[in-house]
Amino acid sequence: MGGQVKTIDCRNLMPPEPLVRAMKAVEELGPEDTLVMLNDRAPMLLYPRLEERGLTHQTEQAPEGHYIITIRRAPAR
Amino acid sequence: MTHALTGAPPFWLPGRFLVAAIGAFLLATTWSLFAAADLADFYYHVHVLALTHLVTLGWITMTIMGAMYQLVPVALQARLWSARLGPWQFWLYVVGVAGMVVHFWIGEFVGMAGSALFVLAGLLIFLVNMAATLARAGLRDLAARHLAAALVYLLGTAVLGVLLALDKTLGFLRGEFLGLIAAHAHLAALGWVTMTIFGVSYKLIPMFTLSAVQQPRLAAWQFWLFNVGLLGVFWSLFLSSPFTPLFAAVAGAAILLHAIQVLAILRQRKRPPLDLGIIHALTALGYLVLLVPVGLLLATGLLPDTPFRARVVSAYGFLGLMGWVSLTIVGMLYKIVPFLVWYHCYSARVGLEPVPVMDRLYSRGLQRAGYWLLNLGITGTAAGLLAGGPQWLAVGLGLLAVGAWTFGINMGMILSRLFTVGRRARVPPAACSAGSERAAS
Repeated sequence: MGGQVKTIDCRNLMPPEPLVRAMKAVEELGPEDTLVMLNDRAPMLLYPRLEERGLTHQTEQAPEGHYIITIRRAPAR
Repeated sequence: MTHALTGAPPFWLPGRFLVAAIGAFLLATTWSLFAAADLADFYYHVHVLALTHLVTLGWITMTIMGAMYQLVPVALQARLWSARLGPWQFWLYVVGVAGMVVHFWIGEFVGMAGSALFVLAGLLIFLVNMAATLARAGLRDLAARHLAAALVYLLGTAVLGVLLALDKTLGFLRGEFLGLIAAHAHLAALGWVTMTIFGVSYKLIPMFTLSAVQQPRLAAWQFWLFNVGLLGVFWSLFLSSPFTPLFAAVAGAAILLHAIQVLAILRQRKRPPLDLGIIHALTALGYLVLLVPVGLLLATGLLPDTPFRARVVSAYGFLGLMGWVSLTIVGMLYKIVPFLVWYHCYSARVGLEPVPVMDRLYSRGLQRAGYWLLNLGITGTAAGLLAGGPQWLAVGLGLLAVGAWTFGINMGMILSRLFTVGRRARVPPAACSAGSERAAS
């Protein structure tokens, strides 16, 4: 596991701004990089867009209540 | 915690309901220009009933159905039970509503009752779909609880409505007819529509002002208090019992408690400027708060049964439907429709090419003008109904119709993107399927 971890804080942003920031950030993601997104809600409408671009994602809820979405490029088959 | 995924519903699942609802709003406000004399007359007039049902079933209920198809899966994180039932439900319902409105207008009650059965069938499909979806989400969420209760009251309203329709030809209900109609109207307005708006407000107002529900316990109290109040109002109107004022006071207290909650949400907001969509909804809440003492006054029976009382009832009903409900819906649609269209036309292209900003899909000037025109139209028409003067009424209805059309033109501008954005650029169909459940791994 190499690559860099980039974090974007999308809390306190009105829809669709979190989606816009995440979609722009994933375009700069290298094959080994990880994008960590902090968001007020589970971004239900972002997930299908990530999958279209061949990205995998995992969502967890932080004890403080916000959501942490970890996004990576899916390994090439 | 790992979430199961849901895809976004395809645009036309909520979209067809929202488009038809906006069409019904424009039709109703335009049609009422030619029915000013009927509206000045006693409220239990077939033409008034036709227009009222075009507004309640066509505009209000179809908007809520469309909004629920979109918001319930996304906001409550529960996959929609069936996207396929949506179009079936839509057509049964639309044919039923059109039939009801036309048959009310011509005073033909056999056809009206038959059409009401189509409406009931459409509503039942919707209810099963939403109940199954909410069951997946669970009812711990304050908004989910409001929506679940609202669906039960929708069923009650529809069944009572069909019974009232059949009674027009078969005559089996022995209660006082106007009392039954008042019971039906309050179950619809408070139980179905207001309950839904309260629930949706607890999601959307914090979302669009960057805030949170400040006193969840008090909001939970408001939920139960409102249920007790509205059920009590319904039963006491239904049975013509003397307890109507008591339950009206309970429902009124719950409404005030909700208004206090909304103000508390706004006070803690992290986004200081309030946009016009939220201002529509807040103005609407102001109309609802104003209606509480009027409802209490009518419940006490202190107003003698004169033509003036009938005019107060007309103005009360009108302000409820247009001031409270319609203005709220206009405000919420200014949030929901641009988002839906932007998402389906542009979201797949973000980061790959420049895409327009969501708020630029419609005219802000037209929205501002519409806000004032709608408010002038609402207050003018209410004043005309109260004074019984057809001239005031005509002016008020005219302003209302122009206000409705400014909203309609803006919505048309937004929706036109669905057809003008090139097919190549559009979201691939697979991307907006209802989505099969996939593990987020």
